[in-house]
Amino acid sequence: MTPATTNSSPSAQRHVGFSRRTQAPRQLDGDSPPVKKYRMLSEIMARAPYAVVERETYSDLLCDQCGSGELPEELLLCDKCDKGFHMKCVRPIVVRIPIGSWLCPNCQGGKRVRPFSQKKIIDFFGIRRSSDDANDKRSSQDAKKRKKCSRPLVLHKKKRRLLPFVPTKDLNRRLKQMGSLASALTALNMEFSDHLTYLPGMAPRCANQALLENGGMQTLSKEDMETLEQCIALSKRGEFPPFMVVYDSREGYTVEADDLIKDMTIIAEYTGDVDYLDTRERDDCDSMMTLLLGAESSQSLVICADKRGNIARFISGINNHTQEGRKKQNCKCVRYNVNGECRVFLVAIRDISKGERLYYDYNGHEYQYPTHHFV
Amino acid sequence: MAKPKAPRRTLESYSVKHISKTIRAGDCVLMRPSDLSKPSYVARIERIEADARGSNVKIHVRWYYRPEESIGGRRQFHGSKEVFLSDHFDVQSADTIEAKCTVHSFKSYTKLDAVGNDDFFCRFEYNSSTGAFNPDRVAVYCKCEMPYNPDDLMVQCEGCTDWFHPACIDMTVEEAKRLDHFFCENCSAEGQKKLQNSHSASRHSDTKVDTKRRRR
Repeated sequence: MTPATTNSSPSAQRHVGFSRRTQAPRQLDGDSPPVKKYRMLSEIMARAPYAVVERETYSDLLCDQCGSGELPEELLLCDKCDKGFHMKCVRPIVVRIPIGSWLCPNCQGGKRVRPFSQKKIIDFFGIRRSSDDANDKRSSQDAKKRKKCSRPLVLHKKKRRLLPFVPTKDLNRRLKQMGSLASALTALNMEFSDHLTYLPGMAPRCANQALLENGGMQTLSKEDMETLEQCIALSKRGEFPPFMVVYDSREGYTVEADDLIKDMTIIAEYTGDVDYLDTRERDDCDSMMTLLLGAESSQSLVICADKRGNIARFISGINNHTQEGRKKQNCKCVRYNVNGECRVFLVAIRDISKGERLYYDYNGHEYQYPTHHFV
Repeated sequence: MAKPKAPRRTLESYSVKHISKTIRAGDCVLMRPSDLSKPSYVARIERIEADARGSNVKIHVRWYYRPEESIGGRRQFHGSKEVFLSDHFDVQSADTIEAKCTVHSFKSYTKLDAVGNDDFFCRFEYNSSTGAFNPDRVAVYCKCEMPYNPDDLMVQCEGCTDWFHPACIDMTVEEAKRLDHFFCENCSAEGQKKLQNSHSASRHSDTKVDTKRRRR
């Protein structure tokens, strides 16, 4: 038998290091058989947070878009490919440091939504077609017109009234408008909802009391209430306001007027899930709207349009830090006491021509939203 | 008269000179990556082939994929030494072998006293075109219902015997290590008042916010 050859050459010896010892779960005295839960791996992958093998140092990391390492505090690290991206270099722009995981646009792999057929659009928005209903509303509308004409001119001048939106007459064009909204909502895995929703585990409806608003909340006048109800009735019939939701590489989804929008027109109510501000303080939802600011912070409510919502959540904010950005504002966000409850509406503050994009001030009430990267 | 091309023959084993190791079919090896900033590729040797004179050695390999190379990407439940056995076969020159390594089963990996640079583990087969895994149904633990990551410390509930991540039960790893007894929320609520009191004393009051990684 030949003895084993020993290679004593130092260059041949491979240096073997040890990484940290694997820590097995702590074993209890006396092995008790564990109760095992099982899950489909596809289910697990849908929920599991991403992770990267951390590099030893990130000091030489550069932005994948502009190639610069400047402004390191704004260099986000993708949790899948571990590359760096400046918040303002990403398309669309990231406006605020995300909480938790973040994936770059490549790793997100944008969901491609196929164009909606007419039936799918109607089903998506839950529209019920009723010609009798239409006739009733039309005659009631005529009655309102007559009433308006008979009003004294002096009273008319005293207060500017809210106007209902005017849907596009062309049915095909309207379907395109609705289709663009349905596609945008679907791409974000959202359901359409044209009213505030109160879900178990979130704020109950009784928490939404306009009386709790610190400093009081303006009440919607009787005439404006009629206008609002008219808008709601139009939407229920599938006669939506004339807007197209478009995708901009820098702004993401945004809203364009598809017809002339007159000054003081109600554009949309801001809808979504109502929750307590305290609960959502650390949330990464990018579409939160103040609903109620109570004297106690525990009373404050927000509307979260991340699972349910309407076109209001797609309207872009102005850049508060540039004069050019501030000039863009063409609508405002107003909160009203409606039948004792708080509601939020977006209203045009000047005539908006066809093709113009809608902008309002995200910081109208408080100055908290970071808009310095906005276009 | 032209000589016919000599047939290639299969070798039982082969001594890789530049690493002074002998490889056989069934062994696992680390292969040199095309991009040197990336970690080495992990592969299993299926067959070793040489020409008639024993030179120009090629090895037929089956690739192991690292989680970040898979369609779904690396997730938090993946171990740092985890690899997936793929259906991706390849032929490589024996010169690209960097080292031998060991790919353990998941069970034997968790029993290792120490994990070396050459130790990996595999608990899934992976279909490289569809991104599907086999088995497609696995055991999950904790209230977050995720598979076990062998790099993570976990605490066992004495009531239901489930395992919990310290972070999911609002604890630090140090606190978890110091626990003598632990009952989870559900088991505590089922009339374990005495232990609940002592347990709640060690519970951390402020929750850690998971902040986005940025370069600093």
